[in-house]
Amino acid sequence: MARYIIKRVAYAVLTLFVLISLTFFMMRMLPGDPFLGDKTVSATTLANMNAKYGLDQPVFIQYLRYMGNCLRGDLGMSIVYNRDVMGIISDSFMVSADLGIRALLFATIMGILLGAVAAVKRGSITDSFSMFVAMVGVSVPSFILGALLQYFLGLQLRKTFHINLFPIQGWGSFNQTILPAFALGLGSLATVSRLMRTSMLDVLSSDYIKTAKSKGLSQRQIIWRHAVRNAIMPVVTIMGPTVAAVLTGTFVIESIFNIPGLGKYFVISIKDLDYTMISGTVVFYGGLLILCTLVVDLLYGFIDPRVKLEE
Amino acid sequence: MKRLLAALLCIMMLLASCAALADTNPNVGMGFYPGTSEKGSISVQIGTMSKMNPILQTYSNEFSIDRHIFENLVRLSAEDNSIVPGAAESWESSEDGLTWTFHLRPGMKWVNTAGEVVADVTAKDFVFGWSELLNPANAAEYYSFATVFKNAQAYYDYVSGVEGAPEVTLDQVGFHAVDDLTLVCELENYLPYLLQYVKFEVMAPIYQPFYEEVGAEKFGTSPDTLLYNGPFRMTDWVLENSVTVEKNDQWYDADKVDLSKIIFVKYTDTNAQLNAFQGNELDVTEVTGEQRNMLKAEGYEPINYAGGYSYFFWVNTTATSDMRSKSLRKAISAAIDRQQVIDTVHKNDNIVSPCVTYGISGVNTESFSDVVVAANGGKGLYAASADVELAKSYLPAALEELGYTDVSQINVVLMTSEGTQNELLSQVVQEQVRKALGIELGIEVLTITESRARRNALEFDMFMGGWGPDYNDPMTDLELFTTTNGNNHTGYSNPEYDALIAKCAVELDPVAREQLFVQAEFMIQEDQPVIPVYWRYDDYVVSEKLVSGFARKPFQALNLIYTKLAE
Repeated sequence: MARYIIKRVAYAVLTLFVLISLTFFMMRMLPGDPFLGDKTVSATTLANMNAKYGLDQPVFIQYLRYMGNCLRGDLGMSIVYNRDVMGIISDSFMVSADLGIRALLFATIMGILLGAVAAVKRGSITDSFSMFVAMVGVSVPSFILGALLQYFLGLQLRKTFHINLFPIQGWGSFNQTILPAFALGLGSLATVSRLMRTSMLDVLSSDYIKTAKSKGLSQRQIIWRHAVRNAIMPVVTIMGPTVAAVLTGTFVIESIFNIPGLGKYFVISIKDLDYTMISGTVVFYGGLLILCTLVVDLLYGFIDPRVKLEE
Repeated sequence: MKRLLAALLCIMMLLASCAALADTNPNVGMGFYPGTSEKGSISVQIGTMSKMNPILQTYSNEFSIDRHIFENLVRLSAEDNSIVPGAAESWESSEDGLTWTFHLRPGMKWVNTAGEVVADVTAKDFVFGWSELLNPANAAEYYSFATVFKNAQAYYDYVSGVEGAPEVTLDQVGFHAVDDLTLVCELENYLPYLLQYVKFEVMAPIYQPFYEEVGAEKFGTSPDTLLYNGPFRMTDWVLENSVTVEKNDQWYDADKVDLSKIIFVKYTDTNAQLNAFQGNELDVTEVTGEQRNMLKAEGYEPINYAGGYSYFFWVNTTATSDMRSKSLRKAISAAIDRQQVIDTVHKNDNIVSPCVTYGISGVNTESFSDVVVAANGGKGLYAASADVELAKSYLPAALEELGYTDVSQINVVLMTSEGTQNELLSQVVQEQVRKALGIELGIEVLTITESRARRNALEFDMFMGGWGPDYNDPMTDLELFTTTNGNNHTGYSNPEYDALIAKCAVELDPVAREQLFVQAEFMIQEDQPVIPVYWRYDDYVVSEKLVSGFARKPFQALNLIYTKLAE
């Protein structure tokens, strides 16, 4: 067990190292520089700007310095915002994480429920309904869903029926979180519920369920104690990628609903060539995703004792 | 009879109020969009902004917020863009125009984010702010605004370590605080529009003890790392999301300020903007051409807003491009149907450029462009529709200049930055030129940063770009095309033109000077180092909460200080 964990952590660190290095050199190969504005600056000013952000050094020296700073947890100073990258990330990630957790909770709980119910009542209207929801969730991208929700539930509900339930934009109150969390989570809900349904159907037709039935256990006990617990395995497997999808997919939702999250920096910083911000977000997200995968791998062993971590 | 009198009186009052105020909301009382519910507060959409340390700023949205929280020596009137006293209540200049003395208003205070008085505003604060602007360690992009003062450029070069730069110390630079309320400025060269410079937002005062206490790196990174001397003070700032300012009761004209709070909210999605406006979560927002037409169909009247942005194709006139042929430039210019471009791409009130310079006041006219148009017999210098015959007439000369035998040999590519309306614009122009001249223009779509890099390196043929004026004088636009100007992305170098602009810089008579600028416009039309296309007009809407007193103009994209609210 310990050996397995150490091995996985070592791989994770190595992946992160490669990721940072690749990002560092790739972004330097992008054409242009961060100081290219609408108006050009004089050579002296450009030299001053380069000196201010340490860009006057040879690239390899900058790389070594950046790596050193990363180890100390210092991601440098954003060129565009003129403030500490770590500060910007920690402020905005709290918001993204808040939104992401809401969306994830909604997606997994509702997804498991819908999938389980659909499997138990296979062929019924409930089944068709939940699979219809899943179909919509998979096929409608979140930015369309977000815009539609904003227009119909935010604006038209208010204009036509004077129901002021869903704020159109902003972040802070509980009501402001409903539409964005729904828009962000529906896609994952769809994946989870379809997976859950398939896996639940498998489980329900297996021998030990028949045994449980013949022992005279109630339907409720069979489903909750035996079926769901086993059927949930594939869902846990995809939780890693799902967390990743939800956390990195916040960009569009954040811009539609004006939420001060981290997602936008991922995109704007590349457009602005804000070097420190680009690598900062990549290091942060990369680290986070590697961590998620690691946790899911370990979790797997706890839920299913048949998975031997030593292997 | 009584009723008639009453009606007349109403009309007269209405006229009187219109004349006295900046902008007036045409929709007040319609009951369409009443606006946000918090009393005394308005929510206003803005675009890109990233820094609040005034000396480091470059975005017009940042300047718009500055206007509400800082007070420079002078400011622009919301009514007509004229210079009005700010921190300086009066000023005078020496006979040769080289020495200016500013007398500051007594009793002005610096307040912190909580509104507590920290110190008096003195002439020293201006001296310190401007010297920080010139401090190379800050690497301020707009430091050049401070180089109008004597020895300032030499000082900047010396401290930046430019090779061979002679030693200059800060006290040799031409701004000095004689006493707490007197600031004396010496200029490097004669500059009739110095006030336009000291009005510019980066020329803000900074209170030195506070600046040193928070440190240059942290200064202006949050509401509590700034001090305020303007009509409002910043109370909240969520990066890339919103800036909240609240009324500063210590400001000298606070009695006339109606608003108690303004929330500037950054939007990136135009549909979300309109939804928020229609759902009464936003009071002021820009709208696209299509959104404008939709609102108009509903009966709600958007307001036009001109920022002074002039759009044109930068043209590479150097030997590396076929556009070096003047006749080819003229042929393409005549082949462009400018009105069709506006109608197809922007679908709004953008207007065909009568000349390059836009948004600048004339000496005796509302706009400098009026003088140019009058000099051209009442017509703009650039036609609204394509003149195919004229365009074709330039072709033989163009082929000769290029040494080609057939138009198919002409190789011109339109460089375009991705994700902008310019992609569509390039296609429209491509089609127009193909139809009129049979020339097949190429289109190359690049990221904004890459296209700027290629633009600066003159590695393109034609590139759609524009120019927004920095100060209210034709020089801000026309000096662009001088040989040594860092923003001349055309390679255009005409000694006659350079001499003309040099003459404008020293001419003392304002009317004669204006005539020189008119000549410059004609020279640009003759040589076409740029092909002007349109002047940008934006539309915006305001909720019925705002009655009057707000302004959107060149140099003041937003001025809400004296906004009057509905009861």
